[in-house]
Amino acid sequence: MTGLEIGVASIVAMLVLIYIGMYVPIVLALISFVGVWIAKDNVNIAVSLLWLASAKTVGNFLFGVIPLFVLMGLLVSAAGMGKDTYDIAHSFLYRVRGGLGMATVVANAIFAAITGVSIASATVFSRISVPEMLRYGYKGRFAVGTVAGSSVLGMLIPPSILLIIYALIAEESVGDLFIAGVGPGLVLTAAYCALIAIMAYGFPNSVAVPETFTDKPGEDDHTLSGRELFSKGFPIFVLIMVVLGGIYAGFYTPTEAGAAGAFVAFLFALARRTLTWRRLWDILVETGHISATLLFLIIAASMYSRMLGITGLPTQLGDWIGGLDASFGLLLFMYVVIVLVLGTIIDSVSIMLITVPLFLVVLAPFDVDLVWFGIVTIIAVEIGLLTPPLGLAVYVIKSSLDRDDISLADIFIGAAPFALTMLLVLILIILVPDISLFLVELRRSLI
Amino acid sequence: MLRRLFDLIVVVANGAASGWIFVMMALITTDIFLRFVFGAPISGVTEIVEISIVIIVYLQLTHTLKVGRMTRSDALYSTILRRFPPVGHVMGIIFSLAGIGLMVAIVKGGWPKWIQAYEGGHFIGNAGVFTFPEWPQRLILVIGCSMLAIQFALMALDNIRGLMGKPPLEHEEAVDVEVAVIEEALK
Amino acid sequence: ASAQQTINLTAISGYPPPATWIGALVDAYIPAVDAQLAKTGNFKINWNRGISGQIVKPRGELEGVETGLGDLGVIVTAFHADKVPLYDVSFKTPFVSNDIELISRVTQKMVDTFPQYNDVWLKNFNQVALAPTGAVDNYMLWSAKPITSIDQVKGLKVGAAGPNLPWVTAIGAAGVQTNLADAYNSLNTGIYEAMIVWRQGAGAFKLCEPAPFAYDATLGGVNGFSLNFNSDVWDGLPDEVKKAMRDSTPAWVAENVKRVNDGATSGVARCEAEFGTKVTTASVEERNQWAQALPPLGKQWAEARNKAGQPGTEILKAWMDEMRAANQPIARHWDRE
Ligand code: NA
Ligand code: NA
Repeated sequence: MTGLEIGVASIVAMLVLIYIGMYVPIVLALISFVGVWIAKDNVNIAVSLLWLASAKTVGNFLFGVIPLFVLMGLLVSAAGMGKDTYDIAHSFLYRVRGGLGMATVVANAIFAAITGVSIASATVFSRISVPEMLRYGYKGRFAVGTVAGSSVLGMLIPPSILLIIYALIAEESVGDLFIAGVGPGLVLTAAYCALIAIMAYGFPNSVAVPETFTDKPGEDDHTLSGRELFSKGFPIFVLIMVVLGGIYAGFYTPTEAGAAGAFVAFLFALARRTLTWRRLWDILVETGHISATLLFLIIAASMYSRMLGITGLPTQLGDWIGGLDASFGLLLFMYVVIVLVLGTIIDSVSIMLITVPLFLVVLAPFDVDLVWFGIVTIIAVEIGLLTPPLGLAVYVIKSSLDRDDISLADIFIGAAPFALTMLLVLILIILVPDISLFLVELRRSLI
Repeated sequence: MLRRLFDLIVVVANGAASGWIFVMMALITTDIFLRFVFGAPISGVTEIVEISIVIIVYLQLTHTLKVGRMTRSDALYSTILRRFPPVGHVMGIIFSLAGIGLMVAIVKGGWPKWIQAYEGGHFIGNAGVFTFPEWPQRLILVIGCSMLAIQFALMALDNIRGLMGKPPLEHEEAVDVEVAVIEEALK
Repeated sequence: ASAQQTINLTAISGYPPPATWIGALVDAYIPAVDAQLAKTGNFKINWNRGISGQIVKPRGELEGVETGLGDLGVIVTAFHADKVPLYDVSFKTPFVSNDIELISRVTQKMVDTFPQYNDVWLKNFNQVALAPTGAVDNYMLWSAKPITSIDQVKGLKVGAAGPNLPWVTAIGAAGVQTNLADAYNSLNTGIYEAMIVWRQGAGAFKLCEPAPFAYDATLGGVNGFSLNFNSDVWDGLPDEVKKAMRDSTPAWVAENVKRVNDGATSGVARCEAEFGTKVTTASVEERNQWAQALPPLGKQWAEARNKAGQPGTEILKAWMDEMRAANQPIARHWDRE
């Protein structure tokens, strides 16, 4: 079988097996094992693939962000700070129809400044926003969809693990890429709020039960007093300074920022007396469960992408594209389509490692701004967090919520309008490079 | 009896890894603090974190599977299990067999590698700066995957019991042991 | 041509083509092999370029080739001091040579002279080493503030890869272990105020933006890579193919050396044009003073190798003899201590 045949067959097999309920990492491992066995006609090499991926995928300092940011996320919610972010956003937005959804989006945009991984955003807000939205009569699908959609802001607005990884592949400045993420992050935030407004006014039944939007005289007043605003806002501000300030003006890497952030959140939780020994232990066990699940998923996804590499699919693809002699517009279109398709089945980092070097070669003659190309890449890759069958943000929400009444399918369906909005924003970012580059140019002109 | 022992091992491994995450956070924070205030970083933190991640995953994974937190899309499966229990149990057995097979493959691949690392004295880090032997994390990978294989086998056993109309063994006991161990740890 | 036999081979690396040793593999080595085989037309290689981390991640190449996930690959020997310590001799002899072509050639000579190099690969890691090549032409000290004398390094936080750390701690720096991936951010944010890095790296990763001043004490370069074949696969190759694989290694080495050297020139040019980089060259006295401040790295390394049953002392002497024969700017004779 050629790489292409194995690739196609593996996708079909993956869809079937995941759908009938086999554990996702087991599906990926099984398909990888069989794929290598077929490609190499040697079972020992297939065994080696499983072991090598198991032993050598996550043993990297960078992956420390996962347990640490998950821990920070859980401690932040234990200290009530995620809820505070949410209350602040809510106090400005509760009068608007769909305001709870918008508050979730805005709170995510703020929270994005203290997290580098969307996983953390998804964890925190599935625990804070979803119950709140359900309480006010919002539909489950809309609630989880909003959380899933807005969690991608976590890796678009700096700090961002994905931007760092892109910078490494493309040999671009991490600082430039971080700054370039700000504009598109704000545009996406605005686009999500617009989407929610359109849904709430145009299709209210898709958002909440009818009673939620009928004006009631005794509606709760969510406006915060100045004092409340300060007491809720100050710890968040401190955490942003510790995490983001620490990375920028300060003193450490994203992984260390995760640890420092978790520690500060721990102190706040202690100070607010919201943490008992038992609660702390539960949080640690929970951190472990979420981290182990995600890391094992990353390991299994890595088995799969390594298997594809062994079948020669990326090389075949590269040769084919290189031989096309296509225009820049067509190449960029193909790039985005390939990233989106890969995004349905493999993890963000693997997609970037496979496609970016390939297209850097292909696009080299066109004198592309690689910072802008990076932002295009990140958004395209992040759409994959929301698309089935493998949508990491969706899985995270499913595992953080741990509720039987909200299925994986519900979350994917709820996230679909947000994925579509991302696609529109992606097109806008492609057509108007200045959204990404404005601040970068400004910074470059200041030096 | 053996089953209770296995449950206990799973819970203890899970607890150890959970506690280790907190230690890791404290270690990195201390490192930042010492570096920032005294210009004296702790050497080897990077390596310790790199090793820790691997160890945490494989110590925790079995418990994650046991308590039903491993990622899956079970809408269709649980419907089948409810409506056509025999079909569901057979599917469950097949899923578990796949899990066992893959874990056995990883153990087969990993066994010579941990021995190689042990006998060759391989290490992580840089000689003269900070080094840590490579074999413990490789051994833990083998142990973790063996535990996963056993857990899958126990789940398959429950499916077989289900086919014969008997209740599963898995849940009640596991919860008891877990509570007991946690309460022990909290004393 | 009807009798032409096609052989599928997968080359692996965790690094993408901008890495000089991988660019050289894709753009020089593979075409050279193809060209040689095309002369008779008996064999054709169907290459799978499993690079850029497609199949193995950085540092995973050694085990990738060992287990057969890749048929051939470039092993970063600098990362595997525990497994192939003999390649480390260049890290233990700084202030000796900044001629990466020479460093590559002499490393090859060590591999040819001392069978222990190949024995380790074959016996312990199931692979055949075809050729080594250099990684770095000349390490420099890049800093946020100008450094004109090694006294200014005292108390400075300096980032360096593990094997380079002893070079800076010896003159009073607070060494911070790091890697190229974290360097830009770390320099930018003051995790360390200076870093040991080579010119091509400084330019490619824009490290001269946060650290525009370079202090050149001719710390010298190092060997870093070995092009290896899985030994089972190697044994199964026809002799003509084996010969083409061996004959083509000089093309790989030459292209890598060229890219490192060109990268050094263009890296500094980029740094000067974009960030006003200034390179200060150390005086001979300063350089000697720095070299003398270091512990006897070569001797320590040789003794550790001797203890492990390898000819450490002989290799160190042979290495330094070659460097002396090539009239290198040696600040310290590491084998005579
Ligand atoms: Na962020
Ligand atoms: Na997806």
